[in-house]
Amino acid sequence: MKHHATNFGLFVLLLSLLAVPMAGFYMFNYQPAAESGYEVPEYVPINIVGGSEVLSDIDQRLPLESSMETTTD
Amino acid sequence: MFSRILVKLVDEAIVPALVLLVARIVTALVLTKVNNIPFSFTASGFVYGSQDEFLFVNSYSTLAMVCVLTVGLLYVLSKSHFFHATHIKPHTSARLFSLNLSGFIQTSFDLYSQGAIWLSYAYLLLFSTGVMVYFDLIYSWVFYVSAILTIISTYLFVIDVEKELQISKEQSPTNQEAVLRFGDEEIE
Repeated sequence: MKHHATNFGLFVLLLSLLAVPMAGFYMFNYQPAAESGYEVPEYVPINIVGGSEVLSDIDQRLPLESSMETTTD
Repeated sequence: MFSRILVKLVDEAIVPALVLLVARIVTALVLTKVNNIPFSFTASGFVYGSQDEFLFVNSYSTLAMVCVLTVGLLYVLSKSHFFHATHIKPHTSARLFSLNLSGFIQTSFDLYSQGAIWLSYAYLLLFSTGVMVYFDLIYSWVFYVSAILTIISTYLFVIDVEKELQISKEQSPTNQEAVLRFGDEEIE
């Protein structure tokens, strides 16, 4: 009985060794760009002027460079 | 009593496991460095900023594993075909001894345990790449490369086992008994 237990342990050890390289497949992942902060987010911040009134979605958008800086800050 | 086969298989499985894992991680790091791909290392491993970058790194690092597997399988299969103790050619054997490379000549037990381990890794990789292709986590051609490698190496391994079985059949005790009986009859 003890021999069977020992050999079964060896078998489990062998299976776990075989699984070691396959564990590498779970080491890689990705996040959507907007959450990761590595790329330009999906939205562009709007500079609101004149109190709480938004004057224009087009005219008041910041340039791309400054909007990136805004998000990283 | 430890099972001799299991101990041998465990012994043979350690090095390939580490080599395959290291190949994947090193390739991923080199690819991210060369292509300036930003990533972060978190508790869940390497996290990339976009799916395209992830796909690129995941595919080519898996391909690196396939390449390492190819080298390992080629090494074992070439040993089993050309330097197998049971059917090595005499002049090859003599040349290996003259070059002090007699260690290349191996028994069936050594060769088949190594072959079984490397083939197991090939099938596990084939299964893993199949799952990843299904979920669009790698390029599909990586799976096809892995499948071709597995099929060819299995075929070559089976050919060698067939050759071994043929040799052991020719050298079986029943044949030797027949020869002895034939000799006895002649003496009588």
